[in-house]
Amino acid sequence: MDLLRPSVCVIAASIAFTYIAGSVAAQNPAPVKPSQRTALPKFITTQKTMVEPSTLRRGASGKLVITLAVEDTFHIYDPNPGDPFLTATKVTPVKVPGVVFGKPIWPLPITVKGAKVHEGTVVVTIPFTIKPSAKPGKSTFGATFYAQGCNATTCYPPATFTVTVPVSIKD
Amino acid sequence: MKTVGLITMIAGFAAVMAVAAPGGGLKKGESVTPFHPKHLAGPLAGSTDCFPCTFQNRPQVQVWVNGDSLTNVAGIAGTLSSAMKTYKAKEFKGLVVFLTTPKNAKAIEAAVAEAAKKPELAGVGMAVLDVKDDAVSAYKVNTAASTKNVVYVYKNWKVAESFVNLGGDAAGQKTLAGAIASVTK
Repeated sequence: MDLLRPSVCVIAASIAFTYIAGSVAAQNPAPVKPSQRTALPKFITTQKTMVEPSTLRRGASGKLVITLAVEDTFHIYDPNPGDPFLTATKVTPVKVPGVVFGKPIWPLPITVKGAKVHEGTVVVTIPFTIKPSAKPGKSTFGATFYAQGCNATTCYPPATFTVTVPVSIKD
Repeated sequence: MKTVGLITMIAGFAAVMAVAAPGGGLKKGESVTPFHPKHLAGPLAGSTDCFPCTFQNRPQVQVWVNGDSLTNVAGIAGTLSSAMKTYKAKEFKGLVVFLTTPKNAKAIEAAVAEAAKKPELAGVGMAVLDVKDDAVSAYKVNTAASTKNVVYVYKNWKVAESFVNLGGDAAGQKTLAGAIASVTK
């Protein structure tokens, strides 16, 4: 029996350690992979991101055009939804050295139960200017959205997603 | 001496298990999700509306009851009712969801409807939900008999604090009130 006691202690300690280790691991999830950062939430069925004009030159201006398709029957909220307790959609351009992005331009919202929302195809435009000092070459333009999809009866939790487009800046 | 060592080790292990959320549940920072319980009392009474979808980014508490005593739940719900008055300007909302089975659903509904009439529970949402509803697993509520309740304090759809087997006594009420205060700042 005396021989068994240390074994029991070792097993108990080992189980306790496993439990603690498991808890610590759960609190420190693995870093998010880049591919996951751009995954669309369920309430955005498709997206298309492009720049206009298609040929970008140093010192020129253009616009980043992001087209989001919101899931049928759902809406996302306008950046100014008219209610402080609603999830205002936030759009943040991805920083690019030598490129200055302006304020995102949204289409006119519709009003649903007093809230300003967007349904169907939503086109958000972000103007930009490429500084003359910008480095020519390949780059990526894009924007990160924080938004929530809701319909008359339910909502998805708010989600963050990033859309991007590869670009080439010429002399 | 060896026996004392063994007892100490086992006691220590048991203590670790108790502290480390025996019922699981959503952790701080995780999102609450939509679900549609049958509301018996409170602002959504008579509907199956989604509570977090209705009250959106407001500070809220959901209490999931899995066989807890009505006395204990009343202590918790009383704290919610009181907080709804204290934090009226912040539009704080509270909901108690009783898990049911087809066998006990009617009895629980009747008991909950009766309990909801108490003035000290005024304003608190009271709802029932089948224990097999998808939301039970979405909210990571352990339905083992050892888990009596799971409490989520949240705002902006993100869990700020969670408790498993929260007491409805003075100590439990104080703990819950403190957590509510932190999301209504």
